[in-house]
Amino acid sequence: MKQLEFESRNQDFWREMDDFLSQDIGPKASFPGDFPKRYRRLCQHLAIAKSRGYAISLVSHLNDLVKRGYQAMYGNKSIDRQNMLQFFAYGFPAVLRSNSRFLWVAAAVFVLPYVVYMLGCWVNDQLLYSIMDSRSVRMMETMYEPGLDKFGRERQSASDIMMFGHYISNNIGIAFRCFATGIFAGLGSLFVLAYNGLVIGGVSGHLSNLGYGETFYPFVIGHGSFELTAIVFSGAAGLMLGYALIAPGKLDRKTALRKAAGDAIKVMYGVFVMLMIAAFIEAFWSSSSLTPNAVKYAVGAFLWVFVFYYCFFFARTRVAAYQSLYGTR
Amino acid sequence: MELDKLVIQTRVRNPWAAIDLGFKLAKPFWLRCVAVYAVLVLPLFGLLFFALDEEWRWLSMFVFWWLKPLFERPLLFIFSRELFQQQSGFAHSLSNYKQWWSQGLLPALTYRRLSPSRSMFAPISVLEGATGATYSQRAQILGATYSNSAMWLTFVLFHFEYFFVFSLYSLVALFAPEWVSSVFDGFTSSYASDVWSDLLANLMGASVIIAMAPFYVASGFMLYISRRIELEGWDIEICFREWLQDSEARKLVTRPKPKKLKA
Amino acid sequence: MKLDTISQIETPEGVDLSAEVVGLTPRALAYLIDFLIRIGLYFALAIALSFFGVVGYGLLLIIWFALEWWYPVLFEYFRDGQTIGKKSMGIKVVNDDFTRLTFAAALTRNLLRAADFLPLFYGFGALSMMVSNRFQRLGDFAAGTVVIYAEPSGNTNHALSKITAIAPSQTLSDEQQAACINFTLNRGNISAARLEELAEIIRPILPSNTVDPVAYIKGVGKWLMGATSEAPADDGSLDRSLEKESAASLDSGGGK
Repeated sequence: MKQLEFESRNQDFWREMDDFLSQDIGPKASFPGDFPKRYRRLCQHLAIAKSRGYAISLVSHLNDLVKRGYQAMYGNKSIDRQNMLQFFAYGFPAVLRSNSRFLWVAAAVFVLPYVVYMLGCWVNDQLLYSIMDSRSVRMMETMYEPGLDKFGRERQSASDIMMFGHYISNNIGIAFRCFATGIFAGLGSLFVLAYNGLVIGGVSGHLSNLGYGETFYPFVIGHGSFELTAIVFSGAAGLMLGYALIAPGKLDRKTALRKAAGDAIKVMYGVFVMLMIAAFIEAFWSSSSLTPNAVKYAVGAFLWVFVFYYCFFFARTRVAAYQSLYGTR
Repeated sequence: MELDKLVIQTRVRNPWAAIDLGFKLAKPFWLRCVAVYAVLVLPLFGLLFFALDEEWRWLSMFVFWWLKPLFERPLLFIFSRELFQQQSGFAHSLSNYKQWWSQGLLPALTYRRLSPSRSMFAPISVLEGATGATYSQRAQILGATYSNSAMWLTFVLFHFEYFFVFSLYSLVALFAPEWVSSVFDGFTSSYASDVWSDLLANLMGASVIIAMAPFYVASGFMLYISRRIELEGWDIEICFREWLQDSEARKLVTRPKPKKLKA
Repeated sequence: MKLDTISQIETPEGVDLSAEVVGLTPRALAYLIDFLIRIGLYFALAIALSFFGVVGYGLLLIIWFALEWWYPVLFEYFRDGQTIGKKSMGIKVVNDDFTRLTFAAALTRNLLRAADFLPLFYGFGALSMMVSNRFQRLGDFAAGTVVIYAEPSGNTNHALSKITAIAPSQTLSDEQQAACINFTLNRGNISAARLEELAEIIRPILPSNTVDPVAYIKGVGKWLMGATSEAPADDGSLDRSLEKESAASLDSGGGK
């Protein structure tokens, strides 16, 4: 077939595809069912044009169409709202349960220093100074002094919304860094986990030693359910990256890293939402001195049970189905 | 120039892509470039460092920095030869110093030293041997839309030199925090740390400059070459020459018979 | 293999796709532009919110967090891989199969900025970009993304009205067609003398009656470009078909 005959025979089809593909292909665009067929036809045309040595302008025009068609064909993986709901109902627990060994390691690296330093600082009121400077320690002490209006704040004038902003920018930033630095063979995540374990454990032990336990524990128990678990999760996500680089198995390191990152980022979606919830609780609930301690303990205990139930026990069969469906290891 | 020997794909690029290509070109010759640079510059630096009095010791680093255009020349020499598949090993590039060291050196170290597009224009004097008015004319023609990118290249790599030095210091600070803070005290006040500590700190900075130089030189060179490709139609020339060769080869294959008849 | 910054992949349909990957320098500049925008925005909002006391301060902290972490993620996801800085540098992020950036990839590569930033000022990120083949930083490796030029290098259309199209006298390979077109477009403003020099190279294989080889090659270039780039009007395509017929019958008439 001559080029011109080829052109005139398919001109209409190409123009149609051109028009169709020049619509703004937003992240959520959808395509009619016969699109794959049409796209494949376009690919055939390109192959024909190339193999017959047709003019380069025709080839590059077809090439451009195929490129855009390829985008539409394979680049259309979007998260819609229903997917999102499903993800937070089943997907997030699924990815946690599939990667439980990383959770165990991360939890151990956080909890062991926590316990050791909590006990140490409880017994010895000087030990906290080994990891914090005296100014910060004094600040911590004044924040949880019994008889305050609002606990957990440097200045009593700080409003709830200000603290909400502070918790968001500070805590979520820490979690994100804890995750990201896992790419250095997991070392960054391990460090952030252990360091936070030391500090948080140390402070709680130190305050118990001073007898501030009755203000400190009711304060932390509520948001701690989301916050502490989320920090451990972000560390686990970081360890997933690091482990893929240390022990890529049969895959090459790049592929292993990408695969692990695919799972890890799902963990981070959950971590982000958990920390938003934690910041909300911490700013608007935990700090209040009006709520009786018994209520705070009860609500806190409920939240802990809720978080653990949701993450590890909720909807076992559905989540297991989700695990096998989406191939999370 | 044998264009068919070019190791780079010959095509018209935008200036940014030319810079990127320079980073690619620098990699295979990085070790050689660094070795050449270090061999030339470290003795000079060491000599100055130990000869100068404590309060003048900073001058050794300054001289090192000011003479960059000189020490970048052998690197340019290496790239300009390797670009056309002509070997230019460590010894070769040093022993052929006559080919690179003197042309236009004075302007390069004086009024052109602070030119932000010097990486792109260095080949004009070093490789083309142009001086004075010819140089300015060439720089104007070649600069056109490119000198802007050459300037940004200098801007970016200048900053990354500092970023890498700070990165290096902060890595060392993980293991020896006291030493790094003492070095910084030494920078900010007249308080002098001991000679060896000072030397080590300066060498860290020097090694970053040396390690970055191949990328800077190669990128500037690729800006220069890219501009010449489009200005002189190198891509077209290469294709036309191959075209001619092909058709001549085909003639030999397809028309042996008439020749036989004649014979 | 000649050195180039082109990265190539094959689609499942067997079609080769290629794109030009972007290195450290343009990306650093794109980052700088974004950085200045973020800082400017932050200070503008800081001034505005300072009238709202501690509440304003709380909002400002949230805004800071959003600008630091979410600005690149949202821009890259919703604006087809381009932040404002990337757009002004003409570059964009894509998945490494050159498809549109997914949300997971956008988030992954931008969270890992925290790792690329270390030890200071993107030290590891820059090093990784300089060492890796496709100029990827750590975040790009984890997310499986590359940064490419949104438009391939140099695509300016010059006025070609003065040139009359000439059908080539032989079938041309892709490279030969491209060379003729580049000759015609003359993007680099090749001097007239140099154009003549170039044309002289293939004079032996041009039709023997060619008077002006420069005009001839330009004519061929224009003909090659005209084949489909403009929507062919009916009369135009007829003309061209005639030209084509005669071209086919002439065969490789050169070199006589």
